[in-house]
Amino acid sequence: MSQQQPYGGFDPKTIKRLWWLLIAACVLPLLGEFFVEHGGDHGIHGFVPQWPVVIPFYPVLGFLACAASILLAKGLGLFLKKGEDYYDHD
Amino acid sequence: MIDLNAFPPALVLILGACLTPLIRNQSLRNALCVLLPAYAFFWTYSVPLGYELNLNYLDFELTLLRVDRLSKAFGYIFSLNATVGLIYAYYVRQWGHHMAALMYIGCALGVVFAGDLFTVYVFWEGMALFSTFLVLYRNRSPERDPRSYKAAMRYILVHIAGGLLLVMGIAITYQLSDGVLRFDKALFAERHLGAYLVLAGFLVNAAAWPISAWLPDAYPEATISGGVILSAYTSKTAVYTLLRAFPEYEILIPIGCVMAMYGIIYALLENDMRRILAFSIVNQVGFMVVAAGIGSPWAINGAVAHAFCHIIYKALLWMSAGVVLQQTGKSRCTDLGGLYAYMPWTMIFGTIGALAISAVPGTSGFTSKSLTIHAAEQAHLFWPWLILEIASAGVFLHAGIKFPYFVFFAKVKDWRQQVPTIGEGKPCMMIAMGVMAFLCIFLGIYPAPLYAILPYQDVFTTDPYHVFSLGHFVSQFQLLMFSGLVFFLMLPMLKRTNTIAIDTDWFYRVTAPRFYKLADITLNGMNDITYRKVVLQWLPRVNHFFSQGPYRVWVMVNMPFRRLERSMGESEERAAKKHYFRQAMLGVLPIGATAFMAVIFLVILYFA
Repeated sequence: MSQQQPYGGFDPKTIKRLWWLLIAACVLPLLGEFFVEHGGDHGIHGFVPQWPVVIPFYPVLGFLACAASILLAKGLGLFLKKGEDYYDHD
Repeated sequence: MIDLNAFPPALVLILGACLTPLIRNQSLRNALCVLLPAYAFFWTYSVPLGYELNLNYLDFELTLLRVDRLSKAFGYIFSLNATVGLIYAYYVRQWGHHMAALMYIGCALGVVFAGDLFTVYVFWEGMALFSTFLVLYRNRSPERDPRSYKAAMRYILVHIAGGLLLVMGIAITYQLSDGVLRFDKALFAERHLGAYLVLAGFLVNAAAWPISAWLPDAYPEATISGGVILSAYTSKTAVYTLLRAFPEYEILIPIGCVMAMYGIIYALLENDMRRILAFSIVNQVGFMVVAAGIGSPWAINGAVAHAFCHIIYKALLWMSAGVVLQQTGKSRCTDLGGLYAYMPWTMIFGTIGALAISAVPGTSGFTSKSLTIHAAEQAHLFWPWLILEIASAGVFLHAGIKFPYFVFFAKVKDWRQQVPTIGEGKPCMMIAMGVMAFLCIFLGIYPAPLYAILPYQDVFTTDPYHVFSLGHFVSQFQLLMFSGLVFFLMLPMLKRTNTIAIDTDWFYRVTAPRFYKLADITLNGMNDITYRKVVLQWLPRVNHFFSQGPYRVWVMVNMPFRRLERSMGESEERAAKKHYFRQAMLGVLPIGATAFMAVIFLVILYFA
């Protein structure tokens, strides 16, 4: 049994297509930004009015928050992760 | 004409549960179990607002029923979820399982419609008790797991501790409020110790950090359908009590924020699919706790709407995980994957649940969670708002993508080699999932019926919020898509391992046994030393001393006089000593000696 197949055993072409799909799914909402009226008290502009309009807040937040969460989880995992039989003595 | 209002759902469900052992036909029994919560839904719909049912018991004025918009909203979702959840559990054979489920749901409805704190407490303890059986039954069901017994014991102990906090708080509140225990925010307007103890009791059930570990410890050990039912009631009843009695308690805002983040980090570390879902309950309840802390009309509306939709999509996720567990016998992400080809409908339903929990536009999470975030925005609470936005992104990461990805996709796997009969779940399970998936999308597209049952209706006209605005769509898609991008970019870092992550339950699972062992060594060691030294050695000596000491004194007093009489050899001296010793022991003293002692005694008395 091959445990570590490349691309999980999926067709690499499909994986490539899915990547393009994901990139498109990221770009489309960025384009949507042009159709949205900025300002007002919605979102970050309600709290930080000087937030530059050219930098859309939510993609930055989504990217950084998730990357930080994964890194934090990974870091904490060094201390918190234990074998599955850790509690078996109790 | 019978007044249906006087037959509250709690009473009907609890009495109905008592009938389950009497019905031997499984189909009939399980049909009744579906009809009872359906009746509760109908009752909630038909009972008029403002309806109350009071009862005088001893010195208490109990309000067994109090119907207002808040209790009705929770009544709707609790009974709806119970009906669909018990359709899902239609295949279960044990009557005891359904009896416990009905009792548990009945008690949850009892809390929601209770008008006084005393009634709340009684139903509260009932929930803790009966929900435990849904974990315990795992040990008796086909998917038998002896670990569930220990998990159930830890679960009930934590809830007993929470119940004790509650009862202490109620006692203090009763004293301070002159015996008035009407369950609403006026009761806790003054923030005394009793209020905080009651709040702590409620927060235990809300799985607030650090008393949160019981939830991901116990729920994944429950039966397949038990997990579906458990996911809805305990924590959401706690949310209801917070919204009812503790709105605007600012302490809830940081507590909720910690819960929201804790759920994400632990879900990312977790390998077990049902435990991932359990952590995401804590994350989602965190949103509702923050909303309770904000306490504004939009926040309360947001929390109720979120609780409503959360119960539906969370049940759906637990249902799909249940089908996977039942079909494969596996729960760890490392053992799963590639199931999309074998159970496509379960995958679709599970994915709809995952999209809904992530608040993807077009699903119920989008139309409900946004209200809480809007409330934080409105209250100008920057940090809570930012944390809720971060948590929204994190939800997509751990529940929105991680759960379906590792369970249904991740790799191509020939499951038929392992499980030849692998396929979709039982028809009742698929019907229930279909209903929940429909509701997730329906409420995401047309939330008007949900908004119509929210507690504060006037804000929809005085301070409207447009959930379906272009800006909201765009920002939500931006947030989610970039979160998804991070997931796939950092996928190697998310590779699952056969591990568990230690949590705050470490303190009572490891430290407590160690403390017990330490106490065993020290206290029992002291006990042992005391027994050997004091009981076996010292006490017999003391006893010997006190029993023979006076006789020896008598020997010591008399021997000099005897020696004065005449000189004695060694054997003679020994015989004399023996003689005096026997004399003292038998109490046969010569009159002269007795008289001499009496004189000494009188002299002492004279001078004393």
